[in-house]
Amino acid sequence: MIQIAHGIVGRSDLPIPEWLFGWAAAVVLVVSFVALAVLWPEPKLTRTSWRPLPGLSRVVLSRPVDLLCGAIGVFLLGLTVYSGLEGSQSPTANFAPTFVYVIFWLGLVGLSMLLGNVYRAFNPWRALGRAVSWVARTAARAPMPAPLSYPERLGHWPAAAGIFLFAALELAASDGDAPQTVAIAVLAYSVIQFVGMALYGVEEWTERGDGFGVYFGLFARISPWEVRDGMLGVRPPLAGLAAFQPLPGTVALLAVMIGSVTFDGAAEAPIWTGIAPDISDFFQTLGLSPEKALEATFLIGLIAAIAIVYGFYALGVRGARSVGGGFTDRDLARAFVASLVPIAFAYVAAHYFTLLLYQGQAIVTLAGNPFGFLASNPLGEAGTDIFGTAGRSIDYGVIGATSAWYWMVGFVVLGHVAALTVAHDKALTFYSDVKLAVRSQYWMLAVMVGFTSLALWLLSQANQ
Amino acid sequence: MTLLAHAGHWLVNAAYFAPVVGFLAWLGWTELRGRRERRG
Repeated sequence: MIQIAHGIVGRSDLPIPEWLFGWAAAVVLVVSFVALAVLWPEPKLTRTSWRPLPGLSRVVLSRPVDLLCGAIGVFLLGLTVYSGLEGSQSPTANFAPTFVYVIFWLGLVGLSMLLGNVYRAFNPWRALGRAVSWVARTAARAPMPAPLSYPERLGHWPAAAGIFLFAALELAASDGDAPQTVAIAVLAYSVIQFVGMALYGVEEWTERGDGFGVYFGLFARISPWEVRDGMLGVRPPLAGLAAFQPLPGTVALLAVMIGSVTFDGAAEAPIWTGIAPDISDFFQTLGLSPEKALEATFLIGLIAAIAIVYGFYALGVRGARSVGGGFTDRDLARAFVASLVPIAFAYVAAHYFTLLLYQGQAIVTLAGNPFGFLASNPLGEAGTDIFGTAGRSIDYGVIGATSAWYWMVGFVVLGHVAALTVAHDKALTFYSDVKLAVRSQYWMLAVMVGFTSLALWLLSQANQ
Repeated sequence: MTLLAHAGHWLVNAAYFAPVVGFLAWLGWTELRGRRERRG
């Protein structure tokens, strides 16, 4: 997957060195910061209006659409598991790896940002949980409350653990892209979801404990779409982040989200490729096989990247505390954590932009032949070509390397300016003194500039 | 010598992080100056 992710050619025709884009981005952030301090003296995102859209709501949130979306989600879950277990074990020929790692994991991020929480509608585990709940309620002819109330201290920790395990499967496991491994991982995740929903209730678990539910739900808060009391409406973009109430584990979840992308990029940098063999050798001296030693090495790299991201945010929070106001590190970390969501989006969008554009095309062919068997398969399984797209190949000319770079830089800059805006707006509601609010944001600006520099450096490592 | 021989590589890498290093240095300096003024 990593190889595909960065399968773009060199950008030799850029007018300035790549590192100069980082400087320009930093200037854009500083100018944005000054503009916000001067032109945005009162909170706007938190005191914003939500406009209901009754006509659209009647269609989009109707029972048939709800059932159809759930059924599609369940069908795709079944197809992923079945093709992974029974289909060809070639990662590029089988439907499961491309669907999970490209369409689901990356495609839904963009869709959530544009269209709101679409994952909630298609979430197969939620659909199945609701179906079981409906059957149980009908059979019992009485309401069936969840046996346990969701513990407050659990917060987003299960979600953070879920996303971390997914990232470890993708980036550290040696056979993480093997169709059978993907299918087994999906089944294991399904069991966890069913247990969670059975204990704490379908909606409660989906909102807090389901890693993907929380992950896509956070990105959906960037979008202008919001459902309130069963009614679809619109709000200004980013307003959903201003209203976000963090839970225990939310900061860790965001650190996992940004840190995992950071490691994926850094894994190609000479700084990592230089030390990784030494770490792997060390694990082999402890008795691990070369394969397991490499997995342990990459797991350590992933954890280190997450720790660096967490540490850098903690540094910004510590700095913000130093300006005064009487807040603790914990108060400040939770207050500004929503500003990390646009950064996480910028990282995903910039880092995986080309992967989604290139490998995403393969899903059309794979959907026509999900098991990936060729007609001339020596095992005798017949290949299928439902949509007549078997001969279709990936069009790598869909975007040039230079254009892709400009798009990626654009994602990084826009994401960080959005993050700065969310943090600034939050500071205005958090601090009673406007001057203190602006001073606290010097430190958040440092965090944003740091993440911007890191993002552009990571992108530059792809072509070294 | 190795450090100098590879200066082209690490200087380019360091250049990416120059803005944040510069900004943090400025922030640290203003913080120190503020503390001194408050004491004085």
